[in-house]
Amino acid sequence: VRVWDGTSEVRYLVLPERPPGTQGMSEEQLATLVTRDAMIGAAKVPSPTGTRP
Amino acid sequence: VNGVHDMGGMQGFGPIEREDDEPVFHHAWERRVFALRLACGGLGKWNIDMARHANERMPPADYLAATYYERWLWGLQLLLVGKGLTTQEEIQSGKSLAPVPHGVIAFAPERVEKAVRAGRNYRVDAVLPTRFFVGTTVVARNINPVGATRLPRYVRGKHGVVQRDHGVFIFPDTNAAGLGPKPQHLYSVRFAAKELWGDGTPHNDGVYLDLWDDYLDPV
Repeated sequence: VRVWDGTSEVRYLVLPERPPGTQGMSEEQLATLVTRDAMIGAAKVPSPTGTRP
Repeated sequence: VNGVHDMGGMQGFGPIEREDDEPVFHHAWERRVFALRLACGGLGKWNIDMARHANERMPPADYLAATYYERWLWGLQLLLVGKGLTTQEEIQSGKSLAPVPHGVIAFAPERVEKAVRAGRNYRVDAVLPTRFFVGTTVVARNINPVGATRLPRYVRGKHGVVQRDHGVFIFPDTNAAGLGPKPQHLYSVRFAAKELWGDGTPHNDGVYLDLWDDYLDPV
């Protein structure tokens, strides 16, 4: 486990892992899946098939 | 010398509440406080490190009982009174009891969008010697200043390894005290969980902190 304890000088965003079942989706469609928690490394992006990882 | 805000490594505050579809603001007054902070910051009477330090000076019992934007409001009042822009009497009464101080120009609504979109960058465009290269083992200084610092208590005196050199940034400790930006390198330093929390912690776990030259010594 790696913990980033920010001193607020540098802000970090996480590039989320692409979930299964997203082949062929457009950028706009993918963007609707991304959550705040996924971009701060606290959750995975849910799969569009409905199962929350 | 150490503020209540420096909570890393403490426990007992209960679980972190995670809301699905959490709104940006939970109450209308929070939105207002957020806007007030930005608008008053636009007066140019203080910098971001002074503003953060203001929040940190909330009395400990109040701080622990307060929500995020309650701390923002408390800190804003401290800044406004401290800079002579308002008085406790005016805050209590909700009425302006004196003319606007000379030289204070309100932050105009038409400037807001541009300012918010532009953001702020605390990187300094200066070439300064690097004290620590990537892979170097360093020790965090055991400092306990009266004023602001962004060096957490739990890391002082501990050994870590430099992972990355972010470049040159404003130093918050002096900037918060009004003593100037004192630009210096900022590094990402990894501290092994075992170094911080002792035996019984997972071998591969680590905490990464962004730390300035003045927080670090060579080993």
